[in-house]
Amino acid sequence: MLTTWTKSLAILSGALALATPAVAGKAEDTVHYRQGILMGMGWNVGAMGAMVKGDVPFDAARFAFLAGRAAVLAPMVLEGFTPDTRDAKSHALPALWDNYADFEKRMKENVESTAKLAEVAKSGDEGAMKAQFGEAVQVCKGCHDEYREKQ
Amino acid sequence: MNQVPRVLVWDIPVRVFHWLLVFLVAVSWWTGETGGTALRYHFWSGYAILALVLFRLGWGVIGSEPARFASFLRGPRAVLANLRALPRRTPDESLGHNPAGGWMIAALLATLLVQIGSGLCANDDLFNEGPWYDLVSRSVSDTLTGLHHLNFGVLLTLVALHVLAIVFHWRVKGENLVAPMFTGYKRRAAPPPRQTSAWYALVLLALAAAITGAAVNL
Repeated sequence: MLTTWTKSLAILSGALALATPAVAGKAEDTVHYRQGILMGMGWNVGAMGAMVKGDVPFDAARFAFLAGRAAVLAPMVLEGFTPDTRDAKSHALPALWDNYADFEKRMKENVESTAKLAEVAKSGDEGAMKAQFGEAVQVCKGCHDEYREKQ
Repeated sequence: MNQVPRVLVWDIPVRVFHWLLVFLVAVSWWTGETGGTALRYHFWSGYAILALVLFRLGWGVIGSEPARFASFLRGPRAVLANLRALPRRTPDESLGHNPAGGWMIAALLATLLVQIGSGLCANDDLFNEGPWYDLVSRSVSDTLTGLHHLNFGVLLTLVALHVLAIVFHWRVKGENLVAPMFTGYKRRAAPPPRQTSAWYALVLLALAAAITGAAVNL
């Protein structure tokens, strides 16, 4: 049985953990963190996309697995876009920092559309999965178009 | 006003090529901007444009006289004379392309080839890669993707100039150049140019389609 004191401490430390960046390390490390998460998302999106395009046979169970993984990764991205990384070397355009509220909104949409994809994927309905995949990648594209450097 | 005779200038292959290209460039633009799952249609449209451009290059050698590069790619003297005559409010005497217009055709075809070549190696950073993506490194693909976006601006600019020139000829020089691209006929006091049978165009198109199919591993 937890005492009120330990419970308060647990809540307090939890609140602190949410309020402050997990690691206040070098900006480069934070950039690597978010690039890692985004690479992970990209890898899963690519594997789903191959099925949607018909490059590989559609496997509903595999698709649901990949969609679930993307949904786990999506909420982790925003944390890597801390203000101190503004000047670190990355593909993020200055526009991202100048329109941070819009960027946050898009990140939220990304979390929602990926969660919905994972949800739809549980149904095993191929048509619905492909349709929601199309919706979700539009959110990816929207953000890339606005805030990711073109090579 | 004495009636100037109608002569067949643009053969059926040139006309069909022209309007199919207009349609496919519009489709490519739309599907390219949409992105995501629509890129599938962007790819198909691009392949069709590649086949058309290859066809046009061949038709520029064996096609009807006004379609041939040798007949419309003129030297700098002719182009300058052509440009100097711009303010004159009379239609051009050129049967097919005038000297400046001829080079515009070359520029459009070259720009389309750059657009296709870069697109074949491009990626969308999501789940679409051109059929030549595996032949180049990721960084080269990224660079060519950038070129694909940049070069589209060049293409749009050329298209805008092309359309402006058509409007200019219509409003200032008093000649409608759009109708001949549908009917094939212009009013010219000149002997009709030699025509190549459209059957050769079909053979050429089949060849262009086969090369395209092989190039993109369809």
